[in-house]
Amino acid sequence: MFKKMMAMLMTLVMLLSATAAIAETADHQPVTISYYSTQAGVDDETVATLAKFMEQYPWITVNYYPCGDDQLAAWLALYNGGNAPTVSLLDCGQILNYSDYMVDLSKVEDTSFWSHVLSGTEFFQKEGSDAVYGIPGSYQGFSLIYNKTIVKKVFGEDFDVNTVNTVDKLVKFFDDIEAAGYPSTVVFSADWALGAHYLGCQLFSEWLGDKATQRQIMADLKDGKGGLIDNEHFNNLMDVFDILKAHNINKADPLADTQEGDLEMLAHGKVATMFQGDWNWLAIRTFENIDELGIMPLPLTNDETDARNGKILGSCPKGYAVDKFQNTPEQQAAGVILAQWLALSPEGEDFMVSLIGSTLPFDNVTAVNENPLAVSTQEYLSAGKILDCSTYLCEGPTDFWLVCGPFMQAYLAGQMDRATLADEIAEYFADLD
Amino acid sequence: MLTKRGWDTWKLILLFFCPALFIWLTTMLIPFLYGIFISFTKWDGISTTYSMVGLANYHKVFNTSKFWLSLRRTGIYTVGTVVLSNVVALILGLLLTSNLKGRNAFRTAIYVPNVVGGVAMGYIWQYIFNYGFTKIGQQLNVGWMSTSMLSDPSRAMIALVVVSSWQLSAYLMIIYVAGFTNVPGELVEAARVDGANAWRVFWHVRMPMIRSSITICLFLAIVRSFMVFEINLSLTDGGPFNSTEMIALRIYNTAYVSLKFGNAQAQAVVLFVIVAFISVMQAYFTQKREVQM
Repeated sequence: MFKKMMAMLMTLVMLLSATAAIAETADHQPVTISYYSTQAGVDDETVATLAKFMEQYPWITVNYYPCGDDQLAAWLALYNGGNAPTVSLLDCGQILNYSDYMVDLSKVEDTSFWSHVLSGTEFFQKEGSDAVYGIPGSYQGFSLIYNKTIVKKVFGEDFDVNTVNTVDKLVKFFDDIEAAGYPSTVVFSADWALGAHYLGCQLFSEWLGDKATQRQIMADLKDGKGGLIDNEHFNNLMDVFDILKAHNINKADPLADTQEGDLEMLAHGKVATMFQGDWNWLAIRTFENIDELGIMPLPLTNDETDARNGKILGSCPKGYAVDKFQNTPEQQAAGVILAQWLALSPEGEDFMVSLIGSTLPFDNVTAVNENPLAVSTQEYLSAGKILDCSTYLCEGPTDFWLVCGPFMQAYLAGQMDRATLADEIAEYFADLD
Repeated sequence: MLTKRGWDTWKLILLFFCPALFIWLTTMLIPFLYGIFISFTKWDGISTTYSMVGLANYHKVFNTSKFWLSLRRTGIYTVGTVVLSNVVALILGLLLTSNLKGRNAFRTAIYVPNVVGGVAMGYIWQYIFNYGFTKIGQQLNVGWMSTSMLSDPSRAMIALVVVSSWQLSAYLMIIYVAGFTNVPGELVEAARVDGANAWRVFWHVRMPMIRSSITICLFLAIVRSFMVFEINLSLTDGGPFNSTEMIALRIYNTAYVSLKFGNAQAQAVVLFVIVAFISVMQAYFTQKREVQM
């Protein structure tokens, strides 16, 4: 009897659920949208996450377009073929470059989701406009990644890396590590790493002052007014680069490294530090027996009271944008739901945090992050110790790293002096359209 | 007025000709003409409207020293690759048409590099240059081998030529094998009876008989070398400090990193004109020296 009653009850519950779903679906017209992601290497997981979305929003069907190696080329090909993805996870610079084709997400029907976004919207806004063209997809921190295991062995368990807050202390930090028998740093020599992360993000960042100051320096360079060789911040940046260069484990052959090789050395305690970011966890976690890792600030001045020496660089490199150029209003509305869901739902957050290992700049994150580098980023973010580099990433020329990265490589290899480097950068800006 | 037979013939011609014409038009001619059109515009890659800029993109291309530098670099690379790949392919073709034991197995094995994609090939060789050769050099205490070829501008170019030639020669070898196989045996026999040694038989009998193969191989090698992209991207990515950035990679970067599609198309059109001119000249002069049987 009890079993019969339970069976009837279960049937009733199922019927009610199905009726509710049908009723909810009946309120909406079926709509098919598409999603393009530049998060490579996790296609199966993305499809599984989208399946969860379609379960919750049964009237929306999502087709997934994975990216290849040519992320932008593939995305543009979809537009040229008349199949513009409804939602795209793209670099912030690309979203702003193509903002004419994107929905202003600050003016959608329901904007309540923005209340959960703590920071990062500035990466998806154009100068002088309130429009927001992307929802932050992740927050990434970068500076000096360090091997905690080595640091603990050399300086003791309780050593606080934040005490390395001047350039002189950085030199001593490296010297002490080397005296203990460990190589102190590796300089990753890829043009994009040197051009974008070391030079671009640091040169045109909060180190220079507020956004207006950063913009002014870029504008002066474009107008051919400002030389960099007399710029104090540029010289500080290059002085510290000289220190990294001098302590580089690869200094005998500085351009012969690979990202994987450098990260493996760092993760396995063969080198103590590397200037890079928390996104490298995707590669690092594939190694076995990884040491404890963290991120510490890279000081650029010798002033202990300079708060910037205690901050790491932070950015919202990718965001979810919704197309308005080739998608119907119904598709755009469904796209906004998907973009919010991917960014802020427990399932979307679990994907970005647990699988990708990203930090999220939201107030409702419950997923546990196993990426120790992202945990470091989160700590600096929560403490407000982040140097903003959105001016370079959002407003800087897209090919800065492509042109100036090789100059940095030449400088690293001792084939170019600082004055020539400064001239080449100035010439690059002066040559911009 | 067409007769029924004549009309049937035309129908047959159209049946075979139209599909090929359609494919050629949609994948070759129309994109080519569209590309030329883009070179006169400023375009963002998406917009359905184009702002015409006349010859501004060409003016910019002709006045950009880095374009000419990249073109010069591509020329040097092309000379190196065309010569090395053809010499290696010719030697391999000769060896593999002699009475060598297991020659079919050798042909297959030697052809394998051509089956491996350019990107995969580039990454494999990058690892070999960065970690393989340097380890051997350090173990044997050979100075020049202890540092990676890819971190030195001139040696990186040599590495690029070697890897490209290694792959290309596998392809060209097949054409030379076909050429050598078609040399009539009685001609070689007659030369030997007349007292010609192996070198004279090769130089005065076999070589003139395979000139059509040489024409094709040179043409293919020149075009492929000028258009090199995948190996350039994966092996050196234009580095160190742009010293191996070939013209195709530069065009790609101009379009998809700098987002200057009109400028990139203008570079592509200039490259097309140069490659077409060189290829036609090469085909004309080598064809003149071919032996007709």
